[in-house]
Amino acid sequence: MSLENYKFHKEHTWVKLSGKSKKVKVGITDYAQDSLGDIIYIELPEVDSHVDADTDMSEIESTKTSSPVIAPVSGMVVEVNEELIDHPEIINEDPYGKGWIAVIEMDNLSELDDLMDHEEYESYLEEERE
Amino acid sequence: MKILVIGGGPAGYVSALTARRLGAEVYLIEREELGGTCLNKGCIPTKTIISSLELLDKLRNQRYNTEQIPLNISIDLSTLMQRKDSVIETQKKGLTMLLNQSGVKIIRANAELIDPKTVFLSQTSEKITANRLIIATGSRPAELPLLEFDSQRILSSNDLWNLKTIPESITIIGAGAIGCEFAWIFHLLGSKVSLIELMPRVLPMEDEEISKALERLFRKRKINFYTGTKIEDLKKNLDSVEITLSDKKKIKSDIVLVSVGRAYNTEILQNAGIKLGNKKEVIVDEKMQTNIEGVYATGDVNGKWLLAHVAYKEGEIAAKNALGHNEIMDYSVIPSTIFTVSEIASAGLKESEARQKGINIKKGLFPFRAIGKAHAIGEIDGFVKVIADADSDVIIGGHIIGPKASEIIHELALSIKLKVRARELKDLIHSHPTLSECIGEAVADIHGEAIHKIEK
Repeated sequence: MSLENYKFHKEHTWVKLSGKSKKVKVGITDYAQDSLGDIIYIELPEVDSHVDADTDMSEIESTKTSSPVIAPVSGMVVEVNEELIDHPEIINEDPYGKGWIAVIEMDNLSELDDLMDHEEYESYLEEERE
Repeated sequence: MKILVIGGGPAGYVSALTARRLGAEVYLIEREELGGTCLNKGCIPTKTIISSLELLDKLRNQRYNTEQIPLNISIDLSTLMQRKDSVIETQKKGLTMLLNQSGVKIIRANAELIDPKTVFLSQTSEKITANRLIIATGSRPAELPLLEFDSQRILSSNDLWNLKTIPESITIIGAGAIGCEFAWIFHLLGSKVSLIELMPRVLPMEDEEISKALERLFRKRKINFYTGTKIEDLKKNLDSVEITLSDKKKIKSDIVLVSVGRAYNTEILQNAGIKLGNKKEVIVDEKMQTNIEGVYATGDVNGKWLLAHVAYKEGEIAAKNALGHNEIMDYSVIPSTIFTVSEIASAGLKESEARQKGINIKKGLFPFRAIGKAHAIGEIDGFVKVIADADSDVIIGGHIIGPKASEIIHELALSIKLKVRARELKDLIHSHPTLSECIGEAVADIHGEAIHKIEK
């Protein structure tokens, strides 16, 4: 799968861009879902709430642990993936696609500059592993 | 010495047995059933029902039933109730035997106090005078204007035991211990549950993190709850009740349970000059004595804790003091337990209480999902939270949400009572594989030494 339109946060979340739109999809990375193990519950953010980049926007429970999802960008939550309420395992199965968590309307597109592209994220993971 | 005890619930029967043991002549008056609310309508029946229903829930749980084999089991309310009744009956027989063996004279009658030491029995027009009186008349579900019980659709927790069919939907007003336990019971029965609470969180008397965790479990189980919410209006239809909430949302359900607190059974004391408080509870001192010498009040009726195990202790203290001892009731460490989507148990200070007292605190937290035994039994939700005084390292509070919380809390209760330091409890080897390991790890976490803690 091409991750050309994706930008990555060091806390293992992603943003999917669509053109110049301020509305972006966010989710957790493949590395994050794999580390968490079987995901059994997600506490979704509230629609119409504001999230700040680098802070908790939701929480994921796996059979191993419970872990906050760090917002990759700041903005209003305009939509959440309600499919995940009954089927949180979709995140394990398709973290970059059907496992998206929310759509955020960004406060400021320039925040994207702080994020990594896929290649940078991969080498960041390499460093992390070492 | 002649002692008269009014009320045969936990407070009353323990008073009676204690007084007998100390050699008094004891009369116990009960107008309904021995064992009181606890045995007949509260603690024991709810736990019996929960235990049956949780068994079914486990069978349906996909963690056990990985092949998702359809289970051909349905719930039969009358069978559930029969088991509940037989558990109550067994307990009641045991209690009756205990009282008879000890020589307590049981009188089944309605009593009224005509002066502080004399009781009038209305059925026989008999009067009994004693040297000492112990009031243990208990409490009953409190009523609210607009929400008066009608035994049809607006029900108290007592009325629920008369249900003949499982309602399709129920609205529960008040998310305290009783409301949260019945929310779980009706959810397991298959009813659609809506829980309404005036305060900003469910179980407002528990530690904030516990309430938060329970709210998440409610969401997981799709039990609807509305906190910080008032009831604006209530409309009774032919076959349902429609409630309008303060945010104008309407909730329609078959029945409504009102569980907003308890009212005290003090009407029969009216003419005896016994001092009552604002909520009509009997005011007692730390020896359980009322404003009248030789008259004591124990259990729910004194409005202090409304827990059966506190009533036991108060009953013992009252009886001893009635017979010349000089004992003081110590409320400093009282474990309390709630049985809802998860068991919840606590002892000692909540985090907010400790902070209000200006104590410099350290806390440790450990999730059950990092404990092997929790996975083995298929119950991984929840955590243990331990609060210590940062200066002395003494454990001052313990809060558990999770499997068998009600059983394992006592390790923390004892630690708090004996002023054990976090490091000392951490050094106790906790048996493996057990749920109590979670306490060992939570205590270790106070100093950042929990071995099995996964960093986020």
